[in-house]
Amino acid sequence: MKKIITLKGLSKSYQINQETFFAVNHINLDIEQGSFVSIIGKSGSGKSTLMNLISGIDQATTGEVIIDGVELSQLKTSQLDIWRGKNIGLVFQFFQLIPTLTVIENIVLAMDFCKVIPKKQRIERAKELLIKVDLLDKAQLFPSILSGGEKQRVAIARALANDPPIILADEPTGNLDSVTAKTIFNLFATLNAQGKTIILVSHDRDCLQYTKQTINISDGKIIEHRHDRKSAETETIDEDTTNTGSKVKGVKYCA
Amino acid sequence: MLNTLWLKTWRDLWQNKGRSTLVILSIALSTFTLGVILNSYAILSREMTQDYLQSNPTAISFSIDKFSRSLLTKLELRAAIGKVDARRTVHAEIKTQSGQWQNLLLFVLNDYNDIKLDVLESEQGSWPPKDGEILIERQAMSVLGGQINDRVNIKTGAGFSTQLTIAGSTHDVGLAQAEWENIVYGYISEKTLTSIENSMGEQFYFNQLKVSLKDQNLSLEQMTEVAEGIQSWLTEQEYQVKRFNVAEVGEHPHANITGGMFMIQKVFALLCCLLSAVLVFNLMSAMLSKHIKQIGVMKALGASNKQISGIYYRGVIILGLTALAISLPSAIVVGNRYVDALTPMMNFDINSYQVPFWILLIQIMLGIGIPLLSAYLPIKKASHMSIRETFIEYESSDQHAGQSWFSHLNLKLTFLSHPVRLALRNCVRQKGRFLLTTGVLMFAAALLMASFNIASTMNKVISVERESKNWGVEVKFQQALSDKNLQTLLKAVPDIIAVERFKRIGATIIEQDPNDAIQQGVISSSVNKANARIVKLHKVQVTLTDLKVNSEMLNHPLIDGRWFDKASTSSKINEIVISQMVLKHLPYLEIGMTIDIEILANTRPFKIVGIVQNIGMPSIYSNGYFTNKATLANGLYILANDHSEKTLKQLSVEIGEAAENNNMALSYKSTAWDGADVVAGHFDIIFSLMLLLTVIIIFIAANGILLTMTTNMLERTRETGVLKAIGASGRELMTMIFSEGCLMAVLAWLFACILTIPLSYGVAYWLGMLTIQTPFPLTLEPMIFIYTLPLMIMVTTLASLIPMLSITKQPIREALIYE
Ligand SMILES: Nc1ncnc2c1ncn2[C@@H]1O[C@H](COP(=O)(O)OP(=O)(O)OP(=O)(O)O)[C@@H](O)[C@H]1O
Ligand SMILES: [Mg+2]
Repeated sequence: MKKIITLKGLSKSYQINQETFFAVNHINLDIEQGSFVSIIGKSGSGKSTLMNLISGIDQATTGEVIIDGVELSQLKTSQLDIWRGKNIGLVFQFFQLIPTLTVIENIVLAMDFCKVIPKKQRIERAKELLIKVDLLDKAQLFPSILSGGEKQRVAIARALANDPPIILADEPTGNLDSVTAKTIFNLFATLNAQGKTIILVSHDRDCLQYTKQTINISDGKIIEHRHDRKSAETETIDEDTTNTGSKVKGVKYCA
Repeated sequence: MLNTLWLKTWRDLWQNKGRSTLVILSIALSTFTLGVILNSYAILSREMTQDYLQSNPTAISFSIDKFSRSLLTKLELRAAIGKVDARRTVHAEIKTQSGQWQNLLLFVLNDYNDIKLDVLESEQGSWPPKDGEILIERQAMSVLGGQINDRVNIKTGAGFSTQLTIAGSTHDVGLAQAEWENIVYGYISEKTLTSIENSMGEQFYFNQLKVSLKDQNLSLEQMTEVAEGIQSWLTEQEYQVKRFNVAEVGEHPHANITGGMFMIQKVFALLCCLLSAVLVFNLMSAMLSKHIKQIGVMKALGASNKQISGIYYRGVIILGLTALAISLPSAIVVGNRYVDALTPMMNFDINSYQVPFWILLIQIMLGIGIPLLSAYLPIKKASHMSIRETFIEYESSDQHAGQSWFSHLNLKLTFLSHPVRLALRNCVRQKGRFLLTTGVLMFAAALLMASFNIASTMNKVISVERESKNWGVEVKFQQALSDKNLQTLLKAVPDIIAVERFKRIGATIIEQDPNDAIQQGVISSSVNKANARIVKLHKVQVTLTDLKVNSEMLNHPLIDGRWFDKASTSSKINEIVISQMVLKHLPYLEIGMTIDIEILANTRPFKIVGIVQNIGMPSIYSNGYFTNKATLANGLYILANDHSEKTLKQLSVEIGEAAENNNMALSYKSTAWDGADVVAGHFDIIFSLMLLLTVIIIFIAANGILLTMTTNMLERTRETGVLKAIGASGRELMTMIFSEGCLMAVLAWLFACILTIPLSYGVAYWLGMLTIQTPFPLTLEPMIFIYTLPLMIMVTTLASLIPMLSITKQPIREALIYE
């Protein structure tokens, strides 16, 4: 399979009281097109930082992020914002819908920004996406009256608006109950089956049932990178991943 | 469906409709004010010039002793001259409706249907005036108080009197306003004058020669040169030229002062625009700081900086356009009414109320441009944030609140109640917004105080002018006043307790320009025929008042130098004191300089010993030049027992009657109150205008406070919910907001007290220079400093009423879930 994301010696460090603190510490990683990856690790281990480096929201201190042949550090901030709109769909923990726009308008907004979808097709496409997330009947409502799960489905539909090959989701179910979370994971799985590369950060061990790879991070380093089969049993981590992540099982690929 | 970027703009404004409306109102009000002023000024100045030019204004007018029509035909042949025309002016008096004798300037024209220069128009009644009829200038009608077909009594300076019928009114655009000058202008035919003067058979003559030039684009200097050329030619032809006057072509005589008045108003209106820009700034910064997270998300969705700033700039443009939709048409309507209100004061007609397109364009550009400029910084800051920054900013936006020096201070202010301390803390939480809003209020307060300071200054100027006259009534006779006549007058009017003679006469300062003199290597100031050709001469017409040695009658404030030595018994006839108005024409004059003055065709040097302040025409004062010989004096200062306005007006009437009964022709008389009254009328207009504009600015300031308070309330919705949840009562919350308003009012007032002093000083200086050529000395009005504080507290309290009520009514549950 084609490699869609390549991280080379990627580090992000902060200077705190004259000491250098590595939030992400020399990570090398290849992710192939069509992968469905979950990143786990305890709080403060550097998961969000890594996601932000991949999406170009954060700049690396050293190392490279190459996505589909594009080296992100070569892009200017303004170019990067536009590139991201076309290539990466972002899903946030707090949904982040624009409150003054309706559900369908939120989705069209993303298309209006990037202008990759022809003007005439935008509304049609927004409707198709809403069908995909099963919310067509809520198209004309304002986000404030939707439930959390519904909001997140709208946010996912919006992330898909410009048909990006990659979807990054940082704790997409962090604000949802476990039943709702399952529908969201299912949605991601469906999208993955349709060919999207999806990386998600989650504290929810349920997600491991859906993803095909698991990356375990501790102190900014990958301590475990496991390729599962979707059908494979999930006995690997017996303790809450959020708290430990130090008990290493399986194969270590990169460190 | 609309483009979602537009939709977002629109919905954001709609979500903040209350605050958007405040901003729209403020922009509309300020562009309206500016519009009214620009529109009316554009109409007035255009129509004034057009009306004036239509009358074929004279370029140069000569006062000549006597000339006949034959001179006109000869002059027309001269190369530079366009048209020539002639009039005879006769100084006379006319009896007004109220029975007083009023100065009358009679114009005698040869053919009313063939006026070549300074064309008259018939206004009402018949035209031209037949024998025994008189036309009155339309504005002078009100001075006279008469009506068409009334019979009026007239006395000429030469002592002839008659009755004439008012045939109608006419419009003479180039004349100074009759009401302001307190004079009546009348127009009669040659025949009428001949029959008044009983001069049948004698050759009729003119004394005013009017000339226009072929080249309309000459400078004042070039025109003066032409005038001098004509003058010497006339002298060669043995005409006695008394003086000439050069007018700037295309400039109405009032253009200058109107321009000055409008200047003040334009500055005010621009200030309104700037202050309303503060509201735009506050609204946009508040909205954007709430939208930071959204902006980050939109960027994550692929929005460019341009697209994001576009969303917000479009909002500002919508605000501006909505405001303009209100202000543009209403400014046109009100501007026209304003023109209508002003034209009667200026004596010209409006043919078209068309406002030039570019004037409207200016309003559109300011109405949109100023808000756009004021929103530039907040929008740029927000739209250029990186996604990462927007996340950080959002999480930590309130973190600095507790850490400033102020909160340390606030901790120590334990004597204040808790809500008040909270209010203090809240004010510094949004320092920028708080300071800007207070700043606008400060401007409003400073302007209010300045208006009253200026009023007080103007009153002081008037009372100084009034107090500079130690006499009660001043009369000037057409002939020198003999001792016998004086005795008769004193006997006839027993209320006169003392008199003092003076002589008043027109004089001309003949002065060579020192710059020219230096250039030409001619330093001496005495005029010498040979040099006169190469050195440019200034001729400035002034009124000379010659006082008795050690006269006590005048007490004008000294600007420089000294008054005549009152203790001295011998006259110093080579000394003069000049009024500051002379400096308008000869700004280089100084104490100690010797200047040549032509008095009754005699030129001799005088030394300037003092400069005094005197409202009115350029004047010079001499000491015993004529009055040494009592019989040469033609004027009389009269003192009465009490100098109240009423007594003096009464005395003036008595003197007029006595003079009439004893055949002593008066050329004019006035009481010590008269001059001041006219000036006071002008000042009232200035004061009302300043006050009106100040009220508009106070309104904008109140809008600003309401906006800020509402914004603060919105931003602290959750916090007040918490306060309520832990038991704060509605009253405590209201106290909190009230204290915030008071703090604004007090701070605004404090700084306004300081700001108003240079501001008032500047306006006083400028107004003084504009009207009397010398700065008005600033007089402060102490009471207004005191009254402004409660007024400002009232304004802030009124403006915070709505937020005060809404905060107490809001249910806790709603407040706590507010995002
Ligand atoms: N701007 C910064 N300056 C200094 N340290 C930072 C900064 N941003 C992040 N860090 C640190 O980097 C480390 C990694 O943070 P990150 O947000 O990536 O953790 P995480 O794995 O996403 O945690 P969580 O599961 O709680 O979301 C943390 O220790 C954090 O304190
Ligand atoms: Mg995180």
